Amino acid sequence: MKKWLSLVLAAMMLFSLSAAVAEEAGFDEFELGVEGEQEVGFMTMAMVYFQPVDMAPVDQATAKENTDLHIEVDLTANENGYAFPVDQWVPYLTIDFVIKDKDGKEVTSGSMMPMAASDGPHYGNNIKLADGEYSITLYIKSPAENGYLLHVDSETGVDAKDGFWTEPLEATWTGWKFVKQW
Amino acid sequence: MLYYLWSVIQDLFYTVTVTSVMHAFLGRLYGRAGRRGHAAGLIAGIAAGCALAAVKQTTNKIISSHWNHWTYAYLMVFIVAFFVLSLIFGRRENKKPGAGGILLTVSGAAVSAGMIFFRLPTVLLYPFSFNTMGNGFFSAYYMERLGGWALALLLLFVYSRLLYGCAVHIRKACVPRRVLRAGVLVYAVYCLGRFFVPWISRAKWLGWPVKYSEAQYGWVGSFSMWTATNAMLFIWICAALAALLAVLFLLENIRVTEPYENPAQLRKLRAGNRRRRRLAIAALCMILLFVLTLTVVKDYDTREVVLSAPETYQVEGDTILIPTESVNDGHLHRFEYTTERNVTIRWIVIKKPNSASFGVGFDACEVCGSAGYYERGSQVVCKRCDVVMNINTIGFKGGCNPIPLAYEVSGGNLVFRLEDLLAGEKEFR
Repeated sequence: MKKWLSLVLAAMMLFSLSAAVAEEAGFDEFELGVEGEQEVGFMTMAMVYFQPVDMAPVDQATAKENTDLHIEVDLTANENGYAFPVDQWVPYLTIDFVIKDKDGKEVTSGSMMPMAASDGPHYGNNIKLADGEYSITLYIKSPAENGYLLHVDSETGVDAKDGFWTEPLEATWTGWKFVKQW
Repeated sequence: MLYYLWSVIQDLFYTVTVTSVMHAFLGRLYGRAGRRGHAAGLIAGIAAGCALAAVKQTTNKIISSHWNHWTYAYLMVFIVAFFVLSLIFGRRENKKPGAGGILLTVSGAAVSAGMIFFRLPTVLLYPFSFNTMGNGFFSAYYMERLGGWALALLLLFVYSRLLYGCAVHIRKACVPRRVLRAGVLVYAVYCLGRFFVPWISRAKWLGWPVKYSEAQYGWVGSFSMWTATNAMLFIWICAALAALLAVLFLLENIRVTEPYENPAQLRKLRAGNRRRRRLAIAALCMILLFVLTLTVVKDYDTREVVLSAPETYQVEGDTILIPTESVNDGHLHRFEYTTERNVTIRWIVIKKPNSASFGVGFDACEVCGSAGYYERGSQVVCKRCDVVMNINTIGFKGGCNPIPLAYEVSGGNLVFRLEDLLAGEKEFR
């Protein structure tokens, strides 16, 4: 009997430790909403989520404590008149979000902060959210609101001499079935 | 403190209930051998859980969703094995375990080990994620959270001893057996639902097809979503099963039913009944305490804070005047201004402690938007992320601080320019 149990114990320990070492490093991003990638203005955007993360400086970030997930919007520039490099991340945006439940009732809202993870720069935030089905709408405000300037003279200026958009761009992802998996 | 109290109880209640009754059940069947066999499972689960927590905390090698997925599969396999084996070999008590008995003990120990391994890392890692906000490990801030966490573990330990006592001493052997079978089966249903969560989150790592339409999720998706949104239902079922065991144990010990030959024997039997009734009542009290913690306390802790009503002020041309004497009491004061575009701009004023200056800012920050701030005791707290503000830095730019709002002190008033207020309109749209 004792031999049996010792074997079980040893096998379980070996299994967990070897699996821990063999597991490929990284983290799992889950796609958010049924729309997948969307073209928003001159950008291609996709939303993902995963477990809440620690961010620094701590006094400028929403702490992992008391939050349920980290949402991210991964965006890259397409051809544009602002001279943002194509296929690259766009800085200086302010991205606000509103999350609604299936009945259209607002559940939470906030801003997504610019930040970088091991897979590159993005806008994101830790948020509190119960398991359920939701939609999320992003309001993307122009870099001008954060003091980003454009050259507008004929010699060095960008193509979009009228400047950035003035009303926030909007994009919505629907049918997001959120279940905490961590 | 409350958050960690109810979170730890919510995380471990099911596991503690099943492992306690499992220990009693295997002990009743096979005596010391059953208890030892199950103890080996408990130790294996705790050791593997600690190992996983350590690897998770110190490396990036653990992808929680992958681990959880396979743990659900593992649990389902062993729960089904345990259920079937307990139907075949789990009736006769106090016997030597044969091959079937060994298999039953191993499967029971494996279920307990899996449940502990699944939940323990999350609980063990809580103290590493306490939001100390630079207050340090020995601060009251940290200790308060640690206190809630430790109290929950202590309560669960006491509960496990009480429930084990009920399950060991109850005379009707079928009660712990059936309670345990029902408990693990319900848990298997929960595991089945959670096993298919990657189906609805389109886990490409599993090779499952990416599905985008509601219809394509099918009943698997609906069932999976149902288990996720009704997770508390499983805990209530578990609490009901544990309470049933304790109630039946209580009822069994109200009257003396054993034969006795003299008054002294009767007194002894009555004393035994009294002890067992106390055990049952204590177990029921603990279950009630947990139910209250997961309902009343949790609701209180997660209630939505209502912002205090805005106060009045005087408008003079393009300026807004707020008498300093109305805001110099050290409490948070909120004001509102509605713009031509029907946007309501809020701002806050608080007199800084041990200072003649005021902390002034919009009732919004760059991280949480226009959620607002409220007063909790002597603290100013963000309504959305629960971050406690340093009152002395209110009015400074950046991060979780309220977005600064310019003002002057003149003629006994705080003077705000409408132009400065309107600059914050975008934060409240």
